[in-house]
Amino acid sequence: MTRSMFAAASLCVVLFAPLTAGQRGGSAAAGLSPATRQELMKSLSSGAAYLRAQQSAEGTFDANPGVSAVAAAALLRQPGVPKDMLMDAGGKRALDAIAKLAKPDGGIYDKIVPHYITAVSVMALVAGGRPQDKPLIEKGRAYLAEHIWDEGEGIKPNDKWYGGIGYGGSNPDRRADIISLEYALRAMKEAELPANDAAWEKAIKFLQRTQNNSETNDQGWASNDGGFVYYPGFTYHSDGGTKSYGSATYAGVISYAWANVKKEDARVQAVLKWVRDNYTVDENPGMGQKTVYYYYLVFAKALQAVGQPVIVDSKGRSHNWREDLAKKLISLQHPEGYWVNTDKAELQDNKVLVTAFTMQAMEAILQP
Amino acid sequence: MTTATLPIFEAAVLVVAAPLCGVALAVRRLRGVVPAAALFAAALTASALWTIAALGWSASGGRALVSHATVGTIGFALAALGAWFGSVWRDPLDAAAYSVGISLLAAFGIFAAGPLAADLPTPVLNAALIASPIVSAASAADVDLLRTDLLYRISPLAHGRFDYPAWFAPLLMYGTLLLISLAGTARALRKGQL
Repeated sequence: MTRSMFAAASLCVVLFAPLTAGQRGGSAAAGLSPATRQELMKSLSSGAAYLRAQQSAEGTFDANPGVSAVAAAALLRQPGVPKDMLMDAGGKRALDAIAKLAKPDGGIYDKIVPHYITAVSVMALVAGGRPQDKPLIEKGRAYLAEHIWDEGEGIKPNDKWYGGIGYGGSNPDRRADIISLEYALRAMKEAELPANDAAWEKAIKFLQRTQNNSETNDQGWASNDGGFVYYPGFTYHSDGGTKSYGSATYAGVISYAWANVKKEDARVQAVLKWVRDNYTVDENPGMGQKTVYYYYLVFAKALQAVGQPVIVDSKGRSHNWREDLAKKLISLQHPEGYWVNTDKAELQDNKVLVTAFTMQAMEAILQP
Repeated sequence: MTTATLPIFEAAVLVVAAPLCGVALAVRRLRGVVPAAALFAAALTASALWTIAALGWSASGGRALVSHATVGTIGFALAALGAWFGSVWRDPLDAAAYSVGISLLAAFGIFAAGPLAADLPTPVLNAALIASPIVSAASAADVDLLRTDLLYRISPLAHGRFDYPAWFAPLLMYGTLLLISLAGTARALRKGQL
């Protein structure tokens, strides 16, 4: 596949996207106006071109296995572009580089943060869909499910870490957090871990203990705003205490969805109340601009997963979140095609990572 | 403390103990330097063997050897620094203060700098991490020190871009410091300062 053929294919996607959207009629994706949808596809195409230009000959991005896997997954899921084109345009190289990191125990990582890197690697391999990667995907999802804290590691069900997962590796403590868990559950879901696997129920216990919902949280600190903190009893909210904040909360919403908890469930309804009370696409509530692009990613994936096309906030105003977020993301794109955060925390000064997050958020916006 | 994290605690002890031992040896005109070095080497060997016995060779053999070699090189280098300073400064208390001060700065300065450290360019930050005996020992032991619970909560370092030292980097850095310090001590010996 030549570069010019790929560019021509991408152009077709941009030009014909509004027509395709119009034909779908009443689908949830029609929450986007045709004009915004066309802009979004153009923006995605430009972001993808930027990412492809950053790929090394070995297939990696930024010489970082985590960033490489997130970027590969974003590119391999680019909407409207045939998979074989995506594979030829660097996809195969990216997947080969990821597959080389596979360990005998099922983990897919280089050296550090094995759980997180395995999760994003599994997602990239799933996005690639190559038959030869299936064994790696199955071993990877089993690795993640096995590393959820449980009795096997001597953690009892009444322990606050039970059902959580952390960065992994030889850390001398046993911390788990909602963000690591969201990545792990997303990978397990995409890798089709059976719904009856015990790992899901264990994860739900940790989710409950991370939610500010005293009805279902047995921890003494829990209040009742419905949102989530980073891990039981600790938050990164700028006000401190145990206040819920944006990215953790949307990670919580989506984690409930990954763990097969229904939208009608009281725990999900409680967190959707927080969403209504704190709806915004201008910042990560409670954190300002810190990790705002991860916020956009989980915001889009969570609201898409729960099937909530319109959010009516606590003041009674209706928000078409797809339209709001799409416009926001388009406005934040740099002319060269990338996105980057002004706050560098959590590697969000890394253009490749932030561009990949944004593209995945856009892909969720486009899903019905 | 576990066997896996033992080298980190050994490095933390050496940050203070090694320069002080070096100064003490300089005050004694290097009498007892060979038994002291042998004792330190024997203790490290015992620690490495204990780690391997506890965790198994296949799981931890190479890691235990590299991490203890790193701790050993750091210990000898900091002791040599103390001996050099002890041979240069007239007052042993001055020598102890300067050598321990430098050692503490290398070990903990990057953590004490707080948000300033997070704003350093990545290569500078990486160099500071190599210079820290604590981080180098942890990295050699395959422990993700900056993402441990306490440091992850209080230090901005783990929330930005950094790379842990390659296994040979602290060996090179502290090996160089060892050679420089030995040369400085030998020069002082020749000048009759000891």
